[in-house]
Amino acid sequence: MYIYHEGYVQSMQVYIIGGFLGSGKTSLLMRLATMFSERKAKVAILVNESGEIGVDGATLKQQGYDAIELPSGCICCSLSGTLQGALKNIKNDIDPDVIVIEPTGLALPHKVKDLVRFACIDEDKDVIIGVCDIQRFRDLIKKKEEFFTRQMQGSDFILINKADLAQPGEIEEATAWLSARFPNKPIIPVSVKEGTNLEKAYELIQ
Amino acid sequence: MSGHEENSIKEAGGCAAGFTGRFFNFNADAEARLAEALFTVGKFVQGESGCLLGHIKAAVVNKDGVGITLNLIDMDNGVEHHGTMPRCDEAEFNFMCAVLDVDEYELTHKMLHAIDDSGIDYFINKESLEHHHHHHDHEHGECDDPNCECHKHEHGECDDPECSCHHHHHHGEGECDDPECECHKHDLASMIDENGHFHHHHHHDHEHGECHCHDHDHEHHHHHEEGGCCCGHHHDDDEQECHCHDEKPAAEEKKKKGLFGFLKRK
Repeated sequence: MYIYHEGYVQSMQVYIIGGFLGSGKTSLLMRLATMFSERKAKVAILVNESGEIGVDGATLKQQGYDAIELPSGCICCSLSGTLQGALKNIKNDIDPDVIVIEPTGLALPHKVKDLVRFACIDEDKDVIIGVCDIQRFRDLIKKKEEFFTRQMQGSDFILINKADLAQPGEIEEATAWLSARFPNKPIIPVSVKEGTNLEKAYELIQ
Repeated sequence: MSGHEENSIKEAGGCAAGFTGRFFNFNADAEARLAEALFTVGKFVQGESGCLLGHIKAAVVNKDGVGITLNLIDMDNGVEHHGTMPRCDEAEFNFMCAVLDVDEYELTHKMLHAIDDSGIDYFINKESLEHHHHHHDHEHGECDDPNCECHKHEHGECDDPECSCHHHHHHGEGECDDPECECHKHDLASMIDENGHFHHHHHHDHEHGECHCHDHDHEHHHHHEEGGCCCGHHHDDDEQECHCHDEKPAAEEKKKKGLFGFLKRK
């Protein structure tokens, strides 16, 4: 956790937003970046896209966020060296209070966390925020249960996103499934789009 | 790329595809057409994979940096539109997909068709369709991956039984016996003409003398037998009655469209 004292951030914190493709990671990243900025934290954003062509970087720039893009691969495996180099450059050139990393939706966040640790840019205070898309939870479990489980297992806590679009009983079903596999992880239903429970999530990551 | 490099993507069974370019006379109508193009690709993915797991995105930005993002994640919800931009004469675009259980080549092919069929006046950057290999980083001294195994081949150290880096060598030596071999699938970048337009019919390549389909007879039959060919004439072709060149009117129309777009831009 970064140290927030008398309005100023005193120690760098790295947040890794993990979750499957389309789960709302970029939207959450923008919300979090705004929340950190409002609290006078200097934020650096690092986005990774698996394809050679990225869209998230363009979106972030349109929204006024200055993001560093790492396209053409996955930072948890093929771009591992690039990630570590980028982190060191960010630390030396920008020296932010908070770095928010958004890996691709096909990355394994715990591997990214290991790489951040090896880069030695902070004091091992990295937090993985797992994002679960309630709308496609059933499809994902049906088709890619093992991969999804591996994505979520490294998370420090899990946000069930798109709660505003959930059908009756879906949130409870997903919560029960996640709780059974990850009994010690806090699980919070949120709607990044509507801002529901985001303050609660923010308090949790402090 | 070696198998080592993209393991989480492979593990998930995912693929990413995309390209960049420019739109001309981009307005609300073009935005709606672009949304329709995304939806067309979404339907293709849904048909191939059973459901759309992943996302299909496009960003359009004008010279002032103002732009929109279109995002398709759920077929029931349709295409999400983020941001607004005024009509402009020219705008840059990025179009990408990251989805599961779909062949990357087929996906890119479908995306190109979707843009071409949308009715938007476009120019595709040919270079964005050409794959950039890892060794470029090495050449530019940019590689800092301590685990990089790119040069293992040069040193004869590669022991990956699934490595396909030198697959084309095998072809050259007539050693290929892979029934699913796709090495000779048409290079999509080569189907982009000087006006940035996608020419999707095989006969265009034939006309330009670029097609190597018949260099390896076995290869051509593989595609036909596997249904990989999109010309739809494979039965005739097998009987030496190929009608690939019968579609001249379509080619002429395409050329007119290309010339019209070119003149309009001028």
